[in-house]
Amino acid sequence: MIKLKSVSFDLFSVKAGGINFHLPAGDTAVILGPHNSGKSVIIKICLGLIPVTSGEVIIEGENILAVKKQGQAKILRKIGYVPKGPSLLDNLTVAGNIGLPLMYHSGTAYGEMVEKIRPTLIRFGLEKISEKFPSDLSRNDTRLVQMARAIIQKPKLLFIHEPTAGDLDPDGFVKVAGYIRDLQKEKTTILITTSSPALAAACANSLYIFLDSKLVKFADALESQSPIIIQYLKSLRDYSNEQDAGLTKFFSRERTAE
Amino acid sequence: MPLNISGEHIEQLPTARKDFPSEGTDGLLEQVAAGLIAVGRFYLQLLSIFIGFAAAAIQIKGSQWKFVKNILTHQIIFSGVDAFFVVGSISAMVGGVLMIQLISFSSAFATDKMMMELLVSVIIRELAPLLTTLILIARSASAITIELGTMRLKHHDEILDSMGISIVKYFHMPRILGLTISNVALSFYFVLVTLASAMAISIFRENVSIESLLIDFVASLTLTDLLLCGIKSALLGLTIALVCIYHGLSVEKSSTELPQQTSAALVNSYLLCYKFNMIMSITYYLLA
Repeated sequence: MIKLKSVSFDLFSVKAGGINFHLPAGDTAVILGPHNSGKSVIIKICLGLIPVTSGEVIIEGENILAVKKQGQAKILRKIGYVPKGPSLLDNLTVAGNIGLPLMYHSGTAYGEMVEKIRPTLIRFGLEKISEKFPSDLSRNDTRLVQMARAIIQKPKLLFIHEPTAGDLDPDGFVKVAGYIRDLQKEKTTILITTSSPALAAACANSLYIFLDSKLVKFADALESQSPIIIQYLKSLRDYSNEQDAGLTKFFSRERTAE
Repeated sequence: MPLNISGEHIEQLPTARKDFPSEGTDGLLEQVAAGLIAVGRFYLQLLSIFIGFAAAAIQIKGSQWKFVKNILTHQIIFSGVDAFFVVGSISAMVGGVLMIQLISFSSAFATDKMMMELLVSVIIRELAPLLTTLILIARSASAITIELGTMRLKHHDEILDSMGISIVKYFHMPRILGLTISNVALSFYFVLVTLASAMAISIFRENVSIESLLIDFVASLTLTDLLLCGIKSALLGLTIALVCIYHGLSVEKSSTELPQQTSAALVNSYLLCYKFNMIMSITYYLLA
C-alpha cells in the first residue's frame, strides 16, 4: 500500500536519512518518537506536502513525489489525513468541515451533503453539534470532527498525526483509540505517528521508532540495547508513568472532593 | 561576538550604514537596483498568481465549478450586493455635489448639452471605476488578506492540499472573479445613481424637464465610454484581488505578519489601482 524507499530529508532542523518503510494494505503501523524527531515530516512527505532530499514514496504503485500537482490530488483523494493541530476551517460548521471534500470533489450541494454525512456524524457522536463552528468545540470534539472529515471519502489509507496530542481528556483518549480500532477492523490501512506509548500499545500492528535520525523497528531497537535506546525507553516509561500518576492524582482529588 | 537566546554565538547583522560594504554612489546604485528587483519580483508574483488562476479556470471540472460557484456567490454578495448602500450613498452625494458646484458657476450648466457630455464622460470614464475601486479596497482588501493570512498561519492550505483541494480553486478563484464582477457591477450602479442625483439637482434647482435631460444623457452616452468603464473596473477589481492574495500568501509564521501584510495590501492596492487607472486613461486618450 505504501512504501518509502531510501527517503532522506533535511528540514526544519530535523534530519533523517535512508528511511525504508513498508506498510501493507489493511495493516496499522505506529511511528513512535519524541517531539521534533521527524514524525510529522514523514507524514507530510507521504502527502507530498514537503520535498525530500532523495528517495521515493510509493502509494498504491505511484510515486507521489514524482507526479504533478493534479496527479498528486488524485492520489490524495484515496488518503485521509488527521493533522495534529486545529485544522478545521473556521468559517465552516462541523458539517461543512466534514463534508468539504464531498462538496469539492463531487459537487454535492450543501443539503445533499448533510444527508450523506449523517451516518458519519452519528458514528462519531457529532450529530448534535453538526451546525456548530470550530471555535465552539471542545478539544475532544475537534479531534473527532477531524477524524470524521478524514474518513468521509472512505479512504483506503489513513494518516493520523498525534491523535491524542493536546488536551484530550481520558474520555477523548479512549474514544479516539476506539475509533482507530474500529477502522482497523474495517481493514483501513493506517499510519499513526505519536509520542504516546499508551496509544502505540493500543493500536499498533507494527511499531517503529525514530532513533538517531533513523526509522527502526521497535523490536530491533530493543534488541540492540544501546545506551541511547535504554535512555529513550526509560524516558518513554517515565512519560507514561507521569501520565498515569497525573490521572490517578486527578481522579483521587475528584473522589476527595465528593 | 553577540550571543543568541540559547547562548550560542551569532554573526552580527549590519545595523548602521557604515556596516554595509558599499558606500557613496555605488551604495545608492545598489539600493536602487535592489528596489527595482523587489518591484519586479512583486509584479512577477502577481503575474504568477494570475497565471495560476487562469490555468485553474481552464482545468476546472464541472463538479468543482459547482463548489466554486457557491463561494463565488457569497463573495459577490459580500463585495457587491452588500456594498450597494455605501456605493449608492456616496454616488448620490458625488452626483449632487458635482452638479451644485457646476450650477454655482453658471445656471446654464444645468441645461447645457455639452456639460451633460462632460458630466457623463467624467463620471463614466474616470470617477465611477476609481471611486468604486476605492470603496472595494476599503471593504474587501483587508478581509481577503486577513482570511488568507490566517489560513496560512493555521496551515489550512496544507490541510486543503492533503484533501486534494486546490487552494487556487477554493480561495483564489472566487475572490478574483468575485472582485472583478462586483467592481464592474458597482461601477455601472455608481454611474446610474450619480447621474440620477445630478439630474435631480438640475430638475429641482433649475426646473429643467426630465425628458430633455434624458434625451441629452442618451445622446451623450457612447459605447466606448461604457466599454472603457467596464474594462477599467474589471482590471482594477482583478488588481485588488491579486494584490490581496499576494500579501495573504506572504504571511508565513508569525501573527504579527498579519497586520503588516494587511496594511501593505491596502496601500499597494491603492497605489496600483491609481497607477493602472492612470495608465489606462492615458492609453485611451492617446489611442482615441
